[in-house]
Amino acid sequence: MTQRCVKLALAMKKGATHWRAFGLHWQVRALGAVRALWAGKLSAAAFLLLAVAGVSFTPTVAADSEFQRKIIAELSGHMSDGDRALGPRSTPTERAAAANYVAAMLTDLQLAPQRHTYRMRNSNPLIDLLLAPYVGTNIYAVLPSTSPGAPYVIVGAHYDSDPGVPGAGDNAAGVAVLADLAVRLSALSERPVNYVFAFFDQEEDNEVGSRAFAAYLKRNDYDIHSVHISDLPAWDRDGKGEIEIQSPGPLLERLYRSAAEKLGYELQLTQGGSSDNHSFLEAGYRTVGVFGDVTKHLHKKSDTLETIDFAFMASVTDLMFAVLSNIDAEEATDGSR
Amino acid sequence: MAADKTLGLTVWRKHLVAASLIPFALKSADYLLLRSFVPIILCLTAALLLLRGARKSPKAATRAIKVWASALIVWGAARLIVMAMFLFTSVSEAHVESQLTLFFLLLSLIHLGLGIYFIAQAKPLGALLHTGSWKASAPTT
Repeated sequence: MTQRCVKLALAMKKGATHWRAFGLHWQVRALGAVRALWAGKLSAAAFLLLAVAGVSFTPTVAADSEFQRKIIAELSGHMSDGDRALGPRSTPTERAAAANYVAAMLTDLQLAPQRHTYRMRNSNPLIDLLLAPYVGTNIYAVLPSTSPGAPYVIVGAHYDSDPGVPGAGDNAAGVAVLADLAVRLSALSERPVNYVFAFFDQEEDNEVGSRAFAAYLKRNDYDIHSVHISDLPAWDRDGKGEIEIQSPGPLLERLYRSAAEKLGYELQLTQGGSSDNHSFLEAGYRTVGVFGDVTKHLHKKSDTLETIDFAFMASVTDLMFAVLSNIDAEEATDGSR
Repeated sequence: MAADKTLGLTVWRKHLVAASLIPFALKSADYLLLRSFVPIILCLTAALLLLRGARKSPKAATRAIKVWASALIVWGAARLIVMAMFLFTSVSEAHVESQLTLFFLLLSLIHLGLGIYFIAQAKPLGALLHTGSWKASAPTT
């Protein structure tokens, strides 16, 4: 706990961007305030004392639309974040800038970003004769479990976009969902599994980034409990609020159905692999795609911040949080899907 | 002096055939690391074909050069077609588009040009490959 409070005070000092990172038990907040006062960090202490008093703090049970809006706005080029000019995230230069953005975002969330750089051959060997291989970088960070030896749960979204497209819905929104989940899962006092927040490159190029990441996990023989992929989480075409879960397998279907029932959400079960979930399904991992709807804005220049349905996106985030925070590490040790 | 010039030209042309294999050898090595074996198979086949032709007879060497030249033409033309397709139609893929640079165009044109040149000069080049001497390519009758 002490270590956590020091971490919090440090976060305050560094100007962490998201207040929900501090959504802890009141005792933890109080201790943090005392430590911060002791260290002479008055501004941080005042902030923490306000937290203890419960002023303007929301419990960690609902997605933060403003936080998500900021990330989508910055990634899609709607809003400039300092000297980082983002927007379309398709060319090597654009994707490198987006990768840097995601890494900086993870650092702000008190997570240590890792770069997984890969090179992959083309889908057809004859194309290898004509073209260079795929080159890209996945960004990921591990939020450790509070239980030693716990398995890993991969929570993934791609950060690239189609050429020349702002990519707010596809898939800056997915990045924002993961960021929000990272904040809320960080705030949990007990985490039964290790959470890996993975941001994939080149989904728009035959899911190359996630395929490389799945191969990397296989090579290193990680104990993977399950993989949860978020794509197009902010589009609800028919306004029904149905959340698509794709190819979840029995265990994940049960977890998602149970969480949706508690939250009062409608689920639509589909089969196949239409996003990065395809890569992990192929690699044999227990995988679910958590998707919104395809709309007319997909892969179009009109895929901007204005198309984002934040209420729907919050429900997708809440559903994923409910599942991820209640995963039982023991439940899936038999290797069944 | 004239003999030196001829010799210089001979060496240059002889090396040109070998040099045309280098980009493919590099590509093959690159893809070998990624466990893609088609480039190395084709590159080795071309190299063995040229070597075998060079050792067997001028005629076999000429034939080998023609085959290799045809492969170069196909390779250069295919890359130019890919480039045209992505630049002038609605076909779009970021991975391909990011490679369509001036260097890509120049390399394709150079190989296309080399292929045409090798076809045109197949007979003297074949003789040169076989004997290592440009003079051997001169008609004996």
